[in-house]
Amino acid sequence: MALSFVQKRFMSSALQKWAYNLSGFNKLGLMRDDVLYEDDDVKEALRRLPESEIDARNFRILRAVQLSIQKDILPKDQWTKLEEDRLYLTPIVNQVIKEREEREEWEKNY
Amino acid sequence: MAANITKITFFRATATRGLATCPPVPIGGLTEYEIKNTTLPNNLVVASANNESPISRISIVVRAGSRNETPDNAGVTHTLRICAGLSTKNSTQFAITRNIQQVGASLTCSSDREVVAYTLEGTKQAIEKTLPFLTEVATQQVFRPWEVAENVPRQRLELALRSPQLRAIDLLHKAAFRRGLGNSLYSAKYQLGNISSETLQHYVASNFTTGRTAVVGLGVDHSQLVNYAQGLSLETGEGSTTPSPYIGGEIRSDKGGNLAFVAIGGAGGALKDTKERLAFAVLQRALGIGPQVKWGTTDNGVLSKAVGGDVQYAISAVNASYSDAGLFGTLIAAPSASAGKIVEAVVKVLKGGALSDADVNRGKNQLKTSVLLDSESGSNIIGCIGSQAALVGSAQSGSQIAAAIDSVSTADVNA
Repeated sequence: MALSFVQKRFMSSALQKWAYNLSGFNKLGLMRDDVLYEDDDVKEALRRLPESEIDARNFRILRAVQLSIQKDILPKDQWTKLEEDRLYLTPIVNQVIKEREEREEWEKNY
Repeated sequence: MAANITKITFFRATATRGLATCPPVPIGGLTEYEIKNTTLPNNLVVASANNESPISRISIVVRAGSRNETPDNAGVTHTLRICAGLSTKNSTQFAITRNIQQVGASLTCSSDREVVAYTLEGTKQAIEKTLPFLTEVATQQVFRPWEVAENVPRQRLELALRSPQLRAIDLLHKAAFRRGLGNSLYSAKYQLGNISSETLQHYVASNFTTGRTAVVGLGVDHSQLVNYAQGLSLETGEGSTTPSPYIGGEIRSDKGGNLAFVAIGGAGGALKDTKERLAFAVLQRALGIGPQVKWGTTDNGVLSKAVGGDVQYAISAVNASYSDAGLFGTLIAAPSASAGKIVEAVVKVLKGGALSDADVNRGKNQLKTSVLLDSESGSNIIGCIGSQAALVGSAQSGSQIAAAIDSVSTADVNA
């Protein structure tokens, strides 16, 4: 599934690929959701992830940290491609944010 | 609040009855009411009674009790009961809880061996606002895995709070019926946390069908309830019901303490056999279920008389009627030293006794009183009507049942 956060209006698919490669995390074998900043909502979303996803994410992060210690990157054929990247965490984060906002609305009014 | 209620009855009395010679409606609602039963084309049963009570109660009752568990999903009904009120397709757990609390209604889930019931109780306005939540909780549950996992400590607490009498009766059922009706109402300790979200969803999908559901209302208008029931989106179907015949056996469970709880039972009357089950109910009362006078210590039941008064004990006859089988027996709680003697005396009565007319009449009167007393309390009766509607297909009011009890004769009970 292609990343949906990229603005589709002004970018052709070649431009999308170039921007994705420019960001650099795919050269370490990471996906976009691996590099999300871990604030409270993301922490709660991570708690809800099934174990298999957590294991895969931990492996990717560990591999990326090892590479960055060695100041190395993966060979080009192992880079994460734009088509392969999956937003596995963002939908859950959005749900967590929605629930939190519902709670805050209630606290405000009652 | 009280002033509002008297105002309403005053106006109703003058508008509909002309002369104000009839008594005002008691605060708990009328006790003599007619129960209307309808069966929808998709086999959903709707039963309601208008007892003109200020509190309305609506209950969705499904034949998904613990008898439908298989060895694979043992404990799923306990988990289902614990998980009532968790997030649904259109609503989060937070929204359900807060919205219902805000209007002062209450939503409970109760389950027994044959049915699971979701009951919403509140004033009429409260019910109007929160009825969608009842639909959500009963029919659109999603069982998010993290929410189900969060409720395991609560389940553990429920298991720890069971009294020994409860466990004795549970084990009696297991010894009597093995599978089906013998499945425990509670999850086994090793199953806690093992019931996954998929198991729950599969169980709900296969058992929450229109052929196994009843919608029951108390203090609501029947046609409105029928409309509501027609709008419920459940899959059509009958589901499967495996028969659960009485088999019999013995189970001993050793726990600490110096009280022994002995439950002895035999085959009882099934719900579908009206004469049998009423006879067994009368027999239960005739044998005695404990002191019937508040703060009293004497019990005139046949069992108490047989055991005598020189040892401390508590004794009660036990009667349970399910849709295709029944269980009848006694529960004895006594210090372990004297338990043996008491059990022998009780077994003698159960095996050989013939009851006199006086005993049977006492049993009949006590049973009638308790049925009618129960029907005065809205919260009791909603459960009663719910089970009847779901299991038998139509519900009878308390006074109809009382009339039927009158027809039980001594010969029926002694047989």
